Amino acid sequence: MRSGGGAHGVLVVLVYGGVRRESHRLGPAIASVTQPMTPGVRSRDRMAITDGLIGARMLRIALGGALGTLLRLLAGGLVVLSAAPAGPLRLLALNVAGAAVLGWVSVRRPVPAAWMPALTTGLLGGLTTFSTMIVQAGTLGHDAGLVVEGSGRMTGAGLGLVAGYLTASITLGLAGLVLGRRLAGGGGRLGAGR
Amino acid sequence: MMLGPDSTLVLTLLATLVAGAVGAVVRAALTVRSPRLGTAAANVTGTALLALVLVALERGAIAAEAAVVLGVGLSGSLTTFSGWIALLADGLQDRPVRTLLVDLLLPLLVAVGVTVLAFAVVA
Repeated sequence: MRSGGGAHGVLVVLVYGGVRRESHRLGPAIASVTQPMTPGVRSRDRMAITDGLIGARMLRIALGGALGTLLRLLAGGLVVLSAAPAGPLRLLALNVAGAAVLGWVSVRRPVPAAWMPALTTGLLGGLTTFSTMIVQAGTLGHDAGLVVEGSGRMTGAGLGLVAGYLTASITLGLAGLVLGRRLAGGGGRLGAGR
Repeated sequence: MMLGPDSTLVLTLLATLVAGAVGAVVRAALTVRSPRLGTAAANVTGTALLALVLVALERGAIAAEAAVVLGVGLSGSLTTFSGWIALLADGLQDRPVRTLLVDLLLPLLVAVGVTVLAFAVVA
């Protein structure tokens, strides 16, 4: 219990610390937006309101990020730390699916506007990953044994495999995004809040 | 107090989720002013972090649990594939050459370069 409470405390401190810093940077811009709605509110109080708005937004994104991380873990996020041969393909499928869902979500907007950043930036951003894709690609040639004996450097075929994996990831990701938009009846540009 | 294997697993999972939340918030903060530059910075930084974590794990400098928290949680959530792809899709419609060079190739090459460099140090 004490350990779980400590983890929660770390979350609150780290997340809220970041929120406070960000709110000071954005405070004046958002205060100018809220000013007409609250003409009688003093500037200090307005700052408190904007702090609260940004704080709530960031906490929702944090919640989405934690959920996205959990889903990635369940889908095999640990593969990067093991030699599982299915890792690269599983990650490719996860990233492409995430891009497709982002395409669908950005057109349909299935949740209230306040929760869109939590869904797009938080959940889908946390579910899909760029870093693991790069590392997976880098280890593909070695795992396939396509290395020059003695030096450990990848052969031309190994480099081709790496380039092919990255190309496939990007191409299929773009295709997934477009498919998601089309299935949602859109095809237009993405809005804010990815 | 000694922790059993189950407790360690639960704590690692919780810490990974917290790290994932922090990564998403940092990424969101980075992309507020400039989604393109912010996403590129988050992706390159997160990839460098993952490479360093794996190198440290390889050298026995950090425990496997710490590697999961930092590598899968923080680095995995700090970087994003879907947001990057969405930026590419929009950019390719408007400014295809700039998008190809600055948004696609530059972060990709820098991230791959950082990873190769990190693993070369280990080798």
